[in-house]
Amino acid sequence: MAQAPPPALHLSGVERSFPIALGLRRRRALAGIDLELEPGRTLGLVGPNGSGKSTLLRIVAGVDRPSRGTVRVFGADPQRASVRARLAYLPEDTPFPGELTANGVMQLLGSLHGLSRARIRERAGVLLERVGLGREARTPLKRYSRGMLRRFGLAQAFLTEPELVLLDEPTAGLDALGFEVVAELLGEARARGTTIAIASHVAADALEHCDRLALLLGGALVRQGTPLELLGVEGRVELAVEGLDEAQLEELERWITEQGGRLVARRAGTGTLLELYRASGARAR
Amino acid sequence: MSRLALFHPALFRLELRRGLRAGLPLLALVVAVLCASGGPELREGSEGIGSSVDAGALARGLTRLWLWSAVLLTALPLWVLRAAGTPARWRAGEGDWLGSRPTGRLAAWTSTWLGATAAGALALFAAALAVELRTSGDGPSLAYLGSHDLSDVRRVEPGETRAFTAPEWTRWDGPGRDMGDAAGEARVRVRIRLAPADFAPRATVLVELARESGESSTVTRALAARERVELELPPGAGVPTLRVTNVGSAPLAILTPQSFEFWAPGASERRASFELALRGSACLAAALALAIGYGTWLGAPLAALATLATWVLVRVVAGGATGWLPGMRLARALAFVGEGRTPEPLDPRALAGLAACAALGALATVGGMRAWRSAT
Repeated sequence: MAQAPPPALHLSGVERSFPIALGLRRRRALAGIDLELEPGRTLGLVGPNGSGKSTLLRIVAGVDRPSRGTVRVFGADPQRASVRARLAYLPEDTPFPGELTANGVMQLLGSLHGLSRARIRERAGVLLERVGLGREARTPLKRYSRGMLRRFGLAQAFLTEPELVLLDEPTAGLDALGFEVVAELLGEARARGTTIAIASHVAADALEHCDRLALLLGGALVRQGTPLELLGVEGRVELAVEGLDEAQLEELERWITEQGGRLVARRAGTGTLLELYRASGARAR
Repeated sequence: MSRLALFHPALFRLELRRGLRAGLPLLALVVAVLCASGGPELREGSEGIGSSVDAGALARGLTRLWLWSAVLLTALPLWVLRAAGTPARWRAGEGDWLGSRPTGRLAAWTSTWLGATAAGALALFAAALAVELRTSGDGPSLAYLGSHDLSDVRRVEPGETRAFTAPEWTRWDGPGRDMGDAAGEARVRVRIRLAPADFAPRATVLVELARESGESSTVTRALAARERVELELPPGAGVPTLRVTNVGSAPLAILTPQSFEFWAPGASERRASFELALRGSACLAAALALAIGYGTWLGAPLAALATLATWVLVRVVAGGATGWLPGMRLARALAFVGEGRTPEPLDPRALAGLAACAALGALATVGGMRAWRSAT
């Protein structure tokens, strides 16, 4: 009988602490994390700032090591180069060499994965165009704005067509057009069967892109489940209504009350900023 | 791609670029300022006058000494401090993209070390070119062949004669050491000083250099404090014997560890700058290897100090037998250049010392960088 493939991610009792006060004390960043993610799924790591999301992603990416516990990526230790060759990581701070151009950094990163120059050039061209940086491909990264750096970070994360993508706050600093790029890239990756882990404290990231959420608080994994299981409110449904006048809306509200329901919020409907940008002729760049 | 790759050209190029960008402008500024200024003046009584080196060569030597001292004092600390800060740079964020790639810590260290070394070496050879352009003169030069090491300070009392047989490699007419017509221009220099316990203002010494075949040359000199007596190697064959006779009334002491220096013609003055660039590069390579390694355990300033302390420690522990550690004889080589002479070629044992430093630096880095992050 064929053996089932190992989970894309398997974390068992993962702890991480860092020395503070000249090493006399330790600050605990992660405490006993148990987590598993099947290949092809998208996991959202949510939690407030300092909850341990970035530390967890670094450990999975092989950048850091757990103080205790086991981490397996596709069944093996991420400290092994062969495992890291299968993953890509977008760090939170986008700390790529600022003196190099976007093309230069792509060549650097791709060559560390063993890609040929021609292949890197081809992939980098496509990806930088996708994230709207085609015209800035020869500009040093130190001249990029924060949003441009984030979009570059996204592009590099998909350079090697990885099997596992780890994204730390992928939408932080992005404008509405950047949000759309993220959605497209993630959608395509999911369609290819890529496993994705996103750390974010933006609810929209978790709701739109993830089919599983893990809530971290103070370094501990306190809840996990589907977005609806974690963020859904029993009996609450959100409707967006178009085409009714004020009198009809009041009648609808009365009907809801008569049926035993309650209108929680009512505000004038607006389009999205993306729709506004598009209507004004903007393209992702 | 080989999973066992120990070197990544892309990381090497990145570090080379960074090293040049960090150091070259400052080094160019130092060289430009020094070249634009007057330089040292040759004064009557300067050490070396009266020896076999002519005044023009001595003046050029002093200029080289002056420029090279500034270059090395600028370049070595600058690149060492920069290299010592490399692990901190990795931990401050660069490790996020570097550590998540299928690149081992050893490969990252190797590529970074070689890149930084190449940057430093390129800068030093560029400096050599600038120094030679500024010096604008060349001529034949005596090249240092080596010295005869004495195990302790040899005192020579008044009226006493001390005889020393030179090492076998000074046979001159031996295999590979045929001096041919230049044999008469080869020289032996004896460093002598008055014994510290005696306060006689002057002493007189007779130094004799004799070949096995009987030929000899002698020099009688009145000495004050610390001086060098130089003799031409007499023609003939065989290992020379040196005799030092105290013909005055004050006790003498022959300095250790390298009292007898052997010099041969055939070098050019310009080779001196090449030798200094080569030694500086070897020293830089060894120092950078250790600085990156120490930097994984210590902060950058402390790691740079620890690198310097390594050389001091080796000097204290090994005494004069330190030729295997690159850079240990850099100061002596500088002094030779200042006399218008050429230091000996880089000691092949220095490559072994460099390899040892590299191994130590690599081990320290791999052990100290278990994780690419040390804080959240």
